[in-house]
Amino acid sequence: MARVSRGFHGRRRTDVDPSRLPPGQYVVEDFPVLSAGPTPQTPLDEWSFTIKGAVDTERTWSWEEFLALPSETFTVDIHCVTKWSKLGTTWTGVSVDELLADVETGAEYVSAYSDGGYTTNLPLEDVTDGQASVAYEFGGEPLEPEHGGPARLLVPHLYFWKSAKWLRGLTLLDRDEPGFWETLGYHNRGDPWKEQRYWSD
Amino acid sequence: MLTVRPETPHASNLVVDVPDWPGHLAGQHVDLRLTAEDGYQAERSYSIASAPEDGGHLALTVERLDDGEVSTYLTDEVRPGDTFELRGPIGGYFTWQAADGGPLVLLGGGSGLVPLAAMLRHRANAGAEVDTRLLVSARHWEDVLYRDELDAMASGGVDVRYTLTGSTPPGWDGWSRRVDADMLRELGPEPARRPRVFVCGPTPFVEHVANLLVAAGHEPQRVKTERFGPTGG
Amino acid sequence: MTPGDQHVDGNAIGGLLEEILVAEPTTAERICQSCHTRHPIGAHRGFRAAGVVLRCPSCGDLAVRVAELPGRLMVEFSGRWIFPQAD
Repeated sequence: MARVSRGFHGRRRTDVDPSRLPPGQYVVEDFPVLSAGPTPQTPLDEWSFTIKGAVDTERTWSWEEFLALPSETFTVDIHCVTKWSKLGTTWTGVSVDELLADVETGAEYVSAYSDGGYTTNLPLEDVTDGQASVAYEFGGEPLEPEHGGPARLLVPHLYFWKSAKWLRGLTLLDRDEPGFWETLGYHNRGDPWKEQRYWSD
Repeated sequence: MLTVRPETPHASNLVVDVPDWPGHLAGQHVDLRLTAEDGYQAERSYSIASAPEDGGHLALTVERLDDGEVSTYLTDEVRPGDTFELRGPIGGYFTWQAADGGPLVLLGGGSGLVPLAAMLRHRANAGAEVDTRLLVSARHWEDVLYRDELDAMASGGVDVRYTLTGSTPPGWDGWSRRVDADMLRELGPEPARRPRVFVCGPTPFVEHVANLLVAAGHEPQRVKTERFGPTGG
Repeated sequence: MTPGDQHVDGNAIGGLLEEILVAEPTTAERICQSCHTRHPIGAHRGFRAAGVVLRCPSCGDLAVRVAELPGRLMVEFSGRWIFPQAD
């Protein structure tokens, strides 16, 4: 058991509606930057977004084509497995439903993949029905590279490692394929309300 | 925790007493972990400022960041008698011992001076006469750590230079610009003398200085770096 | 056990493994599995995310991935690691 450091409270907000905070989380005001690797430097004219894998035909959008897709702006709370939560974050992006609208697939899983080699896996049913999007604006501004720009996955109802930064596409899969952290002890689904942080949870 | 003493307007010196300290090398760091009553924890790394010869009375210099939850606690709240968890010493890579010899070139940006100060203090304690050159980069003169001690070292054979990138005091005769190739050439010694170089500071400072050194012909494996991450609070 | 199978229990190799696992890590060197360059661990690049990642300073490929799980660490090492032996 760790010893308490007298007078240490950390910089956390305590005036928070407890119903908005999953177990074990605390609220931050800033936006911590967590990265498993260097920030990629992909120029926008070389950027593309691809849906591939168990699909009838692959689909790819250039940056301009991607921006031309119907977008939506929404405000959500986000929860990081390292225990910080940030409430009321506003994003603009394209819903995954929109990206899969014309895709024929029998797949039940998705592997999101990013510049730099990061991957994270999700059941298809966690990224459809309005639950996930590919966001390129944060707070009305272009998403900064350190926070995953040009575009990141956003799956706010799961721990934030599922919301892959620097997203380049989704691979649809018939069988689940655990990703970068899911192969190293982190929970396969990562529901913050059930505190699914690790394999043992 | 033994003493807390302000060092500059933005940094404090802490002396902590570590029972059963196994000893450290100049340049090593410790991880310090704080725990709130509700179990919330925060951990940060701090370089050891004191020389190995000072044993388990470790001196740490903590730069106060206004939004830093750990640094504000350590500079404003902590008092003698408080205890916290500490892991270390850590990192045999970024270390120098008098027996390693020189020439020695130390380049510190901001509180990157801290582990270099441990090397200088060790050099003094060991009575080493190694050719040693120190370049301190800071924003303002009042931000420079250990000024009196560095003055004393300068008269004890260490070539101490400063560059101030923000404001300069009246009559300033040091440098007043970002570190550049000319500055490093003037600081010396030339790469052919194969100095051991230690660079410590914020990541952009270290990247910039290390690139200049390698471009000037220093052997990359003799240029050791220690970067402060983005979450130094 | 067939004739010619000379194995011992992993337990018997414990002394050597212990020497590796208590070694000072930052002065150990690593040869990258991707670009084959050799660098001290202390000169690699560290990143903190859900877990901790160490990458090759030349090519950025993975050197170590660490997850700090409750009461245990899960670690994946990559490449060849060189530990100096004490005299």
